[in-house]
Formats: sequence, structure tokens, C-alpha cells
Amino acid sequence: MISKSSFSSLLKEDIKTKMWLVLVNVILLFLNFPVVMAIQVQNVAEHVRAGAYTKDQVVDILVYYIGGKNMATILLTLLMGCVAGVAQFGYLYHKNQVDFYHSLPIRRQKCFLIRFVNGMLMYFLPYILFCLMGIAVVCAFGYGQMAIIRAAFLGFLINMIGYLLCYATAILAVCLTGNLFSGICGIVTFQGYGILTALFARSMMSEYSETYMPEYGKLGQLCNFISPIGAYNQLSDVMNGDGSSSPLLWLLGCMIAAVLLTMISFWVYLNRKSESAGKSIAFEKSKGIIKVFLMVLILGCGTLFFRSMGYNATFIWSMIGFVITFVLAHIMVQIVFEMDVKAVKQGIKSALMSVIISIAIFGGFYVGGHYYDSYQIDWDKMEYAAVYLENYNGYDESYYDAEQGCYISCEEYIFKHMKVRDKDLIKNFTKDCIDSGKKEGELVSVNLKYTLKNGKEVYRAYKIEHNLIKDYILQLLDNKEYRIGTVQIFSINPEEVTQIKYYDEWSDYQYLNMSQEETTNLIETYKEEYLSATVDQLNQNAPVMSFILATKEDNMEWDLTTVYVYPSFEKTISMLESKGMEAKTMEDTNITEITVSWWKEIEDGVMEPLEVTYTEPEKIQQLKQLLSFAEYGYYTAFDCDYTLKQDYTIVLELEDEDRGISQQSAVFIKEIPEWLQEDLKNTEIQQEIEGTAQ
Amino acid sequence: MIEAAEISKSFGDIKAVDHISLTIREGNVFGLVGTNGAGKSTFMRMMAGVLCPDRGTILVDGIPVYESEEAKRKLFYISDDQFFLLNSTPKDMGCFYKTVYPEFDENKYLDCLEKFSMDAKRKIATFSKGMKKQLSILLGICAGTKYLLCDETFDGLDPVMRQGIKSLFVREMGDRGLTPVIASHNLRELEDICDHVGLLHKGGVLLSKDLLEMKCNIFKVQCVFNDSIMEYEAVTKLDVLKHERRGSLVTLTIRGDQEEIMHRIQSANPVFSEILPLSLEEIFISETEVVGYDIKKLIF
Repeated sequence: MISKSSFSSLLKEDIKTKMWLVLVNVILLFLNFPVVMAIQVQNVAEHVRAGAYTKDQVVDILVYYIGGKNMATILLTLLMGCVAGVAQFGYLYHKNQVDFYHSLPIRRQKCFLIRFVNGMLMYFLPYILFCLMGIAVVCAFGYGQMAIIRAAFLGFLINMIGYLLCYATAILAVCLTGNLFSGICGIVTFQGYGILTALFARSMMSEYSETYMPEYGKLGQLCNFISPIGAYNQLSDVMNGDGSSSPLLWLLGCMIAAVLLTMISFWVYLNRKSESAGKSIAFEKSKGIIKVFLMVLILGCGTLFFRSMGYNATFIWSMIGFVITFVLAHIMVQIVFEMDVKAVKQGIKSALMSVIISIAIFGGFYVGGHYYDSYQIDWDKMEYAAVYLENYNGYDESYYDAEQGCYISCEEYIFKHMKVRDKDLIKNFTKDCIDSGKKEGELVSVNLKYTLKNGKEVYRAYKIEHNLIKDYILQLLDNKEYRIGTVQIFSINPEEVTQIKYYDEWSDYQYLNMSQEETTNLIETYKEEYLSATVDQLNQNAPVMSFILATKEDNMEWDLTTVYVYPSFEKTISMLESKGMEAKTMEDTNITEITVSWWKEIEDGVMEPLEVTYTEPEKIQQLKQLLSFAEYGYYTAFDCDYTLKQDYTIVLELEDEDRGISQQSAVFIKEIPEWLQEDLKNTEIQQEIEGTAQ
Repeated sequence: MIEAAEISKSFGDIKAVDHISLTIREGNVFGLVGTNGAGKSTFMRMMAGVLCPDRGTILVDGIPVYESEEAKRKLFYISDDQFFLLNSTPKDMGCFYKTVYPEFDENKYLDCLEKFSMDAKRKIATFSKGMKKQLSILLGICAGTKYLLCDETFDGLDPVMRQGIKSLFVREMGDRGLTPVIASHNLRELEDICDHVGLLHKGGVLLSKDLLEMKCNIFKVQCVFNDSIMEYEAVTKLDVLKHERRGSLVTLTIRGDQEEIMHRIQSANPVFSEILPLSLEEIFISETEVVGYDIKKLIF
């Protein structure tokens, strides 16, 4: 057994031969920490002087750069981990180096340990040094907060585990291969295989299932468990508070994974034959297995790619893609494995095995997809559900989420906040959605999230027949839990609202002068009236007022939500009018002309504009009953004929004492009556006649 | 003593070494000779503990060499394509080997470098091929190991350097019992220095004998016979490895006892007969011709 002093001497001797790697690490980490921190502090100093940034905001920025979320540090760590793996164990690729090192009186275990430890030290030590320098720079500028030191420590932990994951993976790839080219291919494969597999699985599910929702599916998260990069990235997110997973579990899991990878690479190193130097794959017997893994993924991705090019004939394109990809993949893998073009005649067995497995996978997804689409949860186990109707939840695209401190989509908001507990309603709705999926015709997109009693969440994207959706919309609107889940005011803490503003008739911002108590009162009154309104009051009428709830954070104003006030909300209207706001209705407006225009398709892709104009007061009065101003008309609670709004453009000509003649847009909020349909049809015929005459 | 018992090694379908059994005694210079592809380098690498034999074991002073620090500390291996640490100088290599071989004599090393006019601080990457080989040998000698395995090391050395290295070997053998094992094609060089020769062919051992014994066992006889029948009778009773005739002059390569050979020849009443010792090269060619490695086919 070599003594400690000999061990440290060997470490020293090994590092002497890798000074270039030490230098590279030193330069990159020096730039990444003290230099970047100095630059950032200089940059924010300007903003701080101008009063644009508070000290806390500056600290947040610095925490990002020194902590574990910095993408530059993550990429650097990933890259240097791979480089270190090749640098430390790349001697296995050269016969003369293998002869040199393996003839020395040093056991392989020790040789591995020396190289492995050095590979870690060459990154760890400069990282610690320059991270401390970065903290020193920040302290020198007066930002020596505990938060920065904590972030630096956390960042060190995250990046070191990430480094170990990538480093051990690179060592494994080097030990399994026999030359640099194969080694690099191996590293790329090991790092990226998990990610590609997850993406492939997600794409397959999206391809073969009508109801799969990839953004909520678990398949995409596979890469966090089967890819070192995925795990590293997820560790960074989780440890910095993103996501719902337990940071401690992830930390332990990644550490265990890193240790396991190290042990596997150690075992492979010990059992690697010295004569493998120069060959493509070090373990002859592993060629078949590696080839199968590679070819199955390549076949899958290639087939999907070709399939995506076929609009109608997807099966034929899949077949073409499968054959082409098989030939190309087999040739490519054989050439890389044997470094010889003539080798394409070999490896037929493993190629055929790949074909069989690929067919099985495609078959599995085909069957699985159908089963997935027809699956219904156990209704007794349902806790609650959320329903998102695409194009029918006519609210703002972005909802401010106080927890995350950012804007999220309407769907995300609904899935987070809606808890409809009416099982029968959801069950019937789901059944009709599943049945509709088998039919052709006009279908409406519906996304559902079921939360079970055990906390499990199930997501489905359905399509339901247009004639069925109207009834369900009314049933949903009648459900208070549904209302609470769609309108953001229900999730806002009134204490957070610091401003209420609205657009005046000149489209300028005006602020309501309200105390906190009045604000809270307004919000509570609105909520009460919204929940107590009937379905018709919400569905048959457009809002007459709107105001914006805003908050102030770090000297900046953020809009939380726009609130729409319906005609039946008398108390709310009264409170707002007392503060100077005015309700806006069609009835109160002097409209002198209404022009309804639309586009007619005369040939494939060729559209022609048509329009009809009304000036008679009688007709205008009739139309007023059907219309709403565009700023409110899109926000009827439920629009049963969304297409109605989309197909027609309505321009109102208004006459006002103060503003003179002006124009405003409007939308239909009711079904088009027969006389109007006649008029529109006659206009089409007239246009055709005129067109023919010309 | 290095003992190899029934060693076999294959690389895929190629059988590089096939049931080789050899003993290398201490205090002797062992020459490993063989045809191209005979398995010399493979065998040397197994002896150095670089390759693991598929069958059999190689013991160094009774210890299996593969993955044994103790056994490897007794060996210094110089491969045919020697590797030096990146950007190193002879001094750096000396420092490195000192870490690995506890018996490495740094003073002797520096002294040798000076004697052989090698700059200890010059980058090895700037050395010629011969200088690198020279440096390898010096490192090997100064490592203080019991055995020195040299794979085609003498090729590339100039004659003066060769003599210098040989004299170093002799001194080390005398001083501390160094046992060099030299694999080479250069039979003339081996003849000067080797005590024992192992002849490999197609992965197997053709013969393994003391050089003196080998030379005393094969003779070249030139003779002229009057009577062809008597010539035939004499020749058939002998172990003739090679029979050449140029006119009347018959040249025979015969294995056997010198006295007996002469007796048989004389019994055929030759006009002329003369016995000549063979060089190692001639012995090599003769022995390999017997097993079908025909030199004449390779001469154009």
C-alpha cells in the first residue's frame, strides 16, 4: 500500500501534467466570478444612483450571478466536467500511454482514485477561491449581505454535485470507448440520451393520443431522472425554490446518482482491457447493446420526423421514414463502431433487434394512446376539477401570480385556482368529451385537470361538440367554484392592492382616490355581487365598466388584474360612480351609423371583403340590443358563439357634443337575428351580381 | 525469476500468444527473438503486467504480476513506443519515477545523463528517436528494479551508444544482479549480450535455450563427397536442418553433438569437410525454416 505522502506525490505529479486544464479552469472561473460580479455591481450602481433599483433588488441580481441558478456557471461546470473526464482518463485511448501507466507499480484502483480526485480538485479549488473573491468584490462595494453568502454556498453545493454528475458520466463514456472521436460521441450520447428519450416519449404521446397535454405530462420530466444534465438543471431549480419537489430529496437523490455513476465508471475502468486502446468500443460485447439503444432512439425520432411531414398519409410517411432512418442509422453506427466503411455488412443482428424493439415501442404508444384517451378517473376518488375552455374563457391572456411573482397564462391560473367539486357535472362533461372525440364536425377544445383525493393530478385535453358546449357553459357558470376559479379578483389579497385605476373616455389612465378600507370594501362587494349574479345576468350582458387593480413593488407599479363590472352589480357601480367613474352602455350612446363587415371566401384561400351599413334609427336601435363595445364585448362571462365575434367587424359612428363624430369598435354578444342574416346574404348576392356585371 | 506457465492471449480471432511457458532466471540476459507477429511484444506486455493473460499466469519471484504493486516494483518496462509526460524534461521524468519506484537513484541518473551528454532540462519532445530510447534505458537502469524489460529498445541507437548501454548493463548486472529481458530483431546485437535466448514463432515458443548451448548444438558443415550413395547414407543418419549444394560443395546445417556429426561425415569419406559455428541469425533462420517460415520466399 502506498503511503499518504506517496499518494500526495502522485497527485502532484498528475497535476503537473494537467497544468493546461488548471489554467483553463482558473481563467474561466476568474471571469465567471470576480470579474462578472465587479461588472454587475458597476452596472447596478448607475441604476441605484438614479433610484431605479433598491438595495434588495441589487442583492437579488448579485445572488443570481453568484448562486446556483446562473446559467453561465451551470454551462461552464457541465463543459469542464466533460473536459476533465477526457483529460484525466483519455490516456486509455493511446497504447503507448496505457503501456506506460499500467506498467507502473500502481494498482488500477489507486490510479483511478488519483486521477478522479485530481479532476475534482482542479475545478473545486479555483471555484472556491474565485467565488470567495467574488464575494469580496461585492462586499467592497457595500453589498456584503448574508443572502449573497448563502447563495454562494448553495451555488457551490449545486454546482459541485452537477460537476460530479457530468464528470462521472464523461469518465464512464471514456472508459467504454477506445478513441477520442468515439469518446466524444459517447459523452454527448450519455448526456443527451435521457433528454432525447424524454422528448421522444412526449412527442410519441402527443402523436398517438388526442388528449395528452405535454406541458403537464410526466414524460417530459423523465429527463430529470435519466439525464445528468436534466438532473443538474432540476437540482438547480429545486434548490432555488422553483418547482414543487423537495429540495432535500433532490439533493440526496443527485448525490446518490453521482456516487453511483462514479462507482459504475470505477468498475468499468477496472475491467477495461488495456488492449482496447485505439478501438472504437472498449468492450466488444457491449457493442450490440449500445447499438440497440442508439438505433431505437434514432429510429423513433427519424420516423416521427418523417411522419410529421405527412399531412394526410402519415402511415406511409412513417414507413418511408422508418426505412430511411434504419439504413442511415445502421451505416452511421457501424462506421463509428468499427471505423471502417466495410463494416456496414456486420451488426445485422443488433440492427434487426432494434427494428423489433422500435416496432414494439410504436405499437405500444399506439395502443397506449387509445387507452389513454378513453381513460376516465375513478370518480369516487375525485377531489375537485378545473375546466379551461379555449376561446371561451375570454379573459386576459396573462394573469399575475403573486406566489411566483410573474404573469402566467389563463389556463395555468385556472388549473391552479379552480376547484369544482360537482362530480356529476364533471363526469358527464368528461363522458361527452370522450364521445365527441370519436366524431367529426365542429369541435371545441377543452382542457381538464382532475385532482384526486391522494393529491395526484390528471390532465386531459378534449374536444367537445359545439352544440353540447353551450349547455355545459351555462352549467359551469352556475357553479360558484367555477366562477371563483376564472376571475382573478378572488385570489387577490385586498391588502396588496395599492392602486385602482381605469381608462377614461380619452383612453387615459385615471386613478381612483380610495383608502385601503374603501379598496377592500369595493373588492369584497364586487366578489359578493359576482357570486350572487344569475347566469343570464353574466351571460346575456356585456360589462358596463372596468377598473384595474394594481400593486406597487420595489418602486414599480404592477397591474394585477382588470375587473369587469356587469349591469346587475349595482352596489359596485354605485361605489365607482361615487369616485367619478361612469358606466358605458350602448343605450346611452348616440350612434348614427353601424357598419358590419366580413370576409367571404370566394376561392381556396382567396377572400373578399363585404360590408353592409345601417343608418336608419330603427335598425340602429335593434342592432344596439345585439352589440357591445369591443372593450367589454369580449368579456361577457360566457360567449356561446365566440366565432360570432371573430367573423364580423363592426364599426360604430358616434356623435357627441364634446367629441363630435367618432368611431368605435363593437362586437356581437347575441345571436344574429334572421333579418340581419337576410341583409348579409343579400349583400353577398349583390356583390356577386356586381362582380358578374363587371 | 520470472516464470510464465502456459500463457495464452488472443485479440478477437487472432491468437497472439499460444501456450507459452518460459523461465527467465536472475543474473542472465534473456533475449526474446521472434518472427514478425510472433507475439514478442504481447508477451512482454503481459510480463510487465499491462495485459492480463487469457490463460496461465506470469509470476515475478513467485508473485503474479498482473495488478500487483509488489511484483511491478521489481520490473521496469520500456515499450517499443515509449511515452513521456507532457512537456517534461529528463529531470521531470526522473522526479516522476522517483515517486513511483522507491529505489530510484537520482544521483546515478543525473550522472548518467551527464555521461551520455543529455541535457537534463531540455524538453524531451525535442529529442530524436534515438535519444528518447537512450533516455528510457537510463531511466530503467536507474530505477533500481530487479528486472528490466526492453522491447526493441536497442533499435535506433547508434553503435557507440549501444556499446555504452551494454557496458552499463554489464556493470548493473555485476553490481546488483540486474536481469535484462530484451526483445529484438537485431540478432547480431543480442548475440553479443544475451546468455539465454527464447525464440518465438506464431505465438508459440520454438526453442528456449542458453545461447552457448544453442551454438553448441547446431553446426554448419561444408564438405565435398565423392560417392553420392555414401553421402546419402551419412546424411540420413543425421538431424539435418538444411541441405544446400553448390556444385560439389555441400553445405549442411545439422543439429546434434559435434563429435558425432564429424564421425558420421567422416564415415562417408568426404574429399573435404569442415565444421563451422553458426551465428544466431543462421540458427534463427534454420530453426524457422523447419517450421515453414521460408526466408527464400521473402527475398526478391
